[in-house]
Amino acid sequence: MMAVALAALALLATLWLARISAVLRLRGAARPAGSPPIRTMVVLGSGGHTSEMLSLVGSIDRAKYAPLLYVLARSDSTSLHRVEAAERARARPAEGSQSAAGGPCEVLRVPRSREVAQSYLTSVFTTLYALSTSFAILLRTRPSLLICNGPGTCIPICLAAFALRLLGIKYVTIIYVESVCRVRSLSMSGKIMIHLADKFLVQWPQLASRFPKSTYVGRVC
Amino acid sequence: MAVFVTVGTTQFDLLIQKMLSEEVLDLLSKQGYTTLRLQVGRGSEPLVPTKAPLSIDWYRFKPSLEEDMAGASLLISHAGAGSILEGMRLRSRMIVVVNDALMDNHQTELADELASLGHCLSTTPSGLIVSLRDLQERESEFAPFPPADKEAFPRFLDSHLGLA
Repeated sequence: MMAVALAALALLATLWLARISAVLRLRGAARPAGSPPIRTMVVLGSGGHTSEMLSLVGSIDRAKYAPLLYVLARSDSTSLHRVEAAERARARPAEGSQSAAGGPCEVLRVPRSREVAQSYLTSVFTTLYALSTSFAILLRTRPSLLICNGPGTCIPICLAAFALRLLGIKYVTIIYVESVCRVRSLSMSGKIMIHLADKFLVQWPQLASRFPKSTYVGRVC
Repeated sequence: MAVFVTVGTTQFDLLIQKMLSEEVLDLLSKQGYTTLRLQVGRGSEPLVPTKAPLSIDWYRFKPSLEEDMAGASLLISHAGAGSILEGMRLRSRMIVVVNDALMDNHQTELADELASLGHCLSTTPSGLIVSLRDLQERESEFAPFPPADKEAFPRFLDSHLGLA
């Protein structure tokens, strides 16, 4: 009896490992995310990350990528004001303005896994909390595309998106864009995301040649 | 001729103190600058010398620094990406000062790269005097930094997702 149970467990573990490696190997292959509009989730990481992300989002065609689901940390009120201002500007472009048309969007708030100066012990629990919140948000909103650029805020969301894919619930294409200030080395979140993202964009050619898994298509923001 | 110093949303007292040192003020005045404006962010209140060879004022924050940055003949900036790229966009004559007191300062990457490409000078507070002299002796203008390619990201997304 024991032996059967053990064998079953071993089989299950092997199957899961095979699944994880298959899913990891499948990353990066161009795949249609269904027909447009594509439900798109955008993670705003605060400060300079938010600036770069709003600039990226400002360049995409909102008829193809809709609705936009902005995710930001509950404590990050600055990013909230900035995204509201950016969306207002797109909804009612000033006369003669070149800015592209806006589209439907929604703002979702998540807890931070770790606030500055928080202890490592309590951050274990806050990380688990952030992970489960992220998973619930993804299950509810079901984006097909996830765009992020660090820092830590995006990790729980990306892990949850990856879990959704492992479980066969939804294939969420993950695009990570490394900051323009990274010229020779990857950021902390970049070092994790280069293994998880479908496409990992860098903005300097010398960084792309150092990291063969990354893609360089120019300085994008 | 105006000099504008910006530390963004951070604090960089070492740079502000250096700017207000007799040595730097004398050099700036000799080089023909007449005003010095400091944006000091969250730093401590600067000690402005009463008898300075040029007129000096300072503030902590403004909603937009664009006017002060664009109006200056010389921009001295901390190494934050936002400030550096804003200076690049405005084609400022710029010295980027890296805060070498910070641990693991990845921001030197961008400053050093742009300096090596001839878009600005990059230094530390202790090297500021040398950079100010170098800048004065420079024969050519800085090369303008090309703006970001706004079409690249949407083009990449469309093709990756099969929407092209």
